[in-house]
Amino acid sequence: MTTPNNIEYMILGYVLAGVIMLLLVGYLVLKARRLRQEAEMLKTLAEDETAADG
Amino acid sequence: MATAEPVLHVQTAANDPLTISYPRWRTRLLLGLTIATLLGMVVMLYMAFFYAGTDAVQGHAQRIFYIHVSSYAGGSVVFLITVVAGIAYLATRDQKWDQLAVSSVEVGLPLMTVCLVTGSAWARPIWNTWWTADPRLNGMAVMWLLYAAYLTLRGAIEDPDRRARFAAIYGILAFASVIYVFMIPRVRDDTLHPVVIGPSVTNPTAQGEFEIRTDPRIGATMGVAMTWWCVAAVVLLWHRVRVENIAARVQRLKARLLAQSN
Repeated sequence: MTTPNNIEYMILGYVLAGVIMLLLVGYLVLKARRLRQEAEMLKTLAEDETAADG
Repeated sequence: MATAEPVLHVQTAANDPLTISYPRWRTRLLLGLTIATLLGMVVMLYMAFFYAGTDAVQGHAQRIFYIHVSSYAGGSVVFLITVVAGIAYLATRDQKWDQLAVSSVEVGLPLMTVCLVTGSAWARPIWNTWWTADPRLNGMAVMWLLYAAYLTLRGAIEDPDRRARFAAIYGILAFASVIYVFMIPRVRDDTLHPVVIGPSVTNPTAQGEFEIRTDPRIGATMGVAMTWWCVAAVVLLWHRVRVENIAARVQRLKARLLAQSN
């Protein structure tokens, strides 16, 4: 019996898994960054409004 | 301006509900686990590619199983957390449990996607097809769609309490599909899918079994891979929960700003 040479499918599987995991991590990083920026902006807005009222 | 509302800039981090602060040890633990996960990935890949031998019958394609089986294990762990979070929400009505539930589905779904696509990449050389109408494969596809629908349906409900209640019940019920997918090749003898770990019925139809029980290197690599994917799933979930905490903070800031404007 000869061992089949199917290394291209192994590479395909690992590359696909890597891409999906990178997309997940990228999604988390970008979402966190966007939310932090939004929070900072809202905080600045609130401070400006407080200063204007004061 | 509503005078009863405390102003944002004079509050300290300790008493400000709009500021997120975590105990230092928790942040350090998360950082340590994240680094350990990255290092563990290198070990897992080394074992999968170089330590475990090449299967005589399946060739290199068998190595896909180290991520195919273990990504399912990692996904199952976080989907089980969805169930726990759902039960905790229904018992306490605390929104933090709903945040944990949605975070766990957002992490679990990509892990199950890894399981699906790697299974397909393995099936092509072993079964000579990318996909076939098999009870295990169809069950897996249904499970994936159920959890994708969880995220879609959540977005359609505006009221936070109603959304959390619906998601809690849905998340608990959807876990039946995870159990179904796990059990099906263990109780039916007409599925192509082999059982890699644990006992099963004698299945003459199964194609693609390999010697995990007799080859200690394959067994050790599978053990390391299973551990890595489960730990990675929890670490990703922890990070995802922190992102959800920032989202909740943004909502609180918006509400406070609106109250100030009125």
